[in-house]
Amino acid sequence: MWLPLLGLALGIVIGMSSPIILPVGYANYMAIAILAALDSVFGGLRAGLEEKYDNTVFISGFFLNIVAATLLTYLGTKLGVDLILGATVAFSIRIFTNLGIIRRHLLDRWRNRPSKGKSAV
Amino acid sequence: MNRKKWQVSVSLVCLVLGVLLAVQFRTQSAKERLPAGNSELLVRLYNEAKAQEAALAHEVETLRAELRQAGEGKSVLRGLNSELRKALLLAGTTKVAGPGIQITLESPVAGRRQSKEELFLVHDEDLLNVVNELVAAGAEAIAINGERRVALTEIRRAGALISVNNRSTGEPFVIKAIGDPENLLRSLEIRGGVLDSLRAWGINVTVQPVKELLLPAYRPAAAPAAASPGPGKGRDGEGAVEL
Repeated sequence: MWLPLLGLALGIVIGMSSPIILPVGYANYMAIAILAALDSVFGGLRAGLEEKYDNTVFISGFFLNIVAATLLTYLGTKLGVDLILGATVAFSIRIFTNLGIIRRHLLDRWRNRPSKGKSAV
Repeated sequence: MNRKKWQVSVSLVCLVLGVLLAVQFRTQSAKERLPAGNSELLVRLYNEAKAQEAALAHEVETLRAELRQAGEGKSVLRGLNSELRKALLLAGTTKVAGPGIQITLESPVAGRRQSKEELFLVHDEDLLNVVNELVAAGAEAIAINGERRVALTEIRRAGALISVNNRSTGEPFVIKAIGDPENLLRSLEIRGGVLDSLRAWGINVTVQPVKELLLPAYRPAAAPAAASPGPGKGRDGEGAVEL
């Protein structure tokens, strides 16, 4: 369970030490891409906890979500409709849903953990 | 085994996510160095700039109007100045210089004088005739023995002398007139004209064109005491500018 957090920390360190700064105009795309990535990560965690994890689904979903969200945002700016809001809402809802499910799974796991000396509740 | 595998994948994805997050974070903090992130501040800055712009535009307009007025004032002043110069010339209150003619009138010498002596003197009427002729011929400025002839000038007998501008003057009478010398000469020397008749009385008349005459200014004997400027502007029916 600590490996994903380690990866995240490593990624943040790499990103902070890299000299890349996006043009301000692309900040929106980056934000929605991050949201898509977060959604994928939580989805993957949930699938993993539910023992339904499929690597291909996860990896393809991760990248497709990012690309699709970015394209949608781009389309929105071209059409003059804030499609980025739709993407934001959709991803946020899914993130919270997944987070809830993950929490429940983790709680279940903690409650049903094999007792070590002390008895489980 | 399976569990390990998904954790590795999620970790890799988390790594990518971390990079994205960090880049976005740095981009955002770079953006915040500009006030772009704060729309309220931006709006305020915009409004301030807009107000400033309006104020400056107003100032430009004011200054431009002032400049226009100043230009107008200048041209008005220039017009007034030339008007004033003309008026001064015509009124005779300034010295004038220019080409013209000089006429000298002198009674015959005493030896030739006969019984009715006064007939052969230069009379005020003679002077008046000459001056009148000069004016008719287009003389622009006339002086008699150094007395400038103006609108108020009288030429009148005062005992044995002649009073011009209330100053008595005697022979010889030197009349200087500024104008086109040829015109003045022609009209004075017309056959049977004013000079001819004077010569007939035996009066010594000399006329000569002068290239550059200098006429003195009118010296009023007394400042006007009774008259004061009338109401209204300028001449009747004319929008002459008030000085």
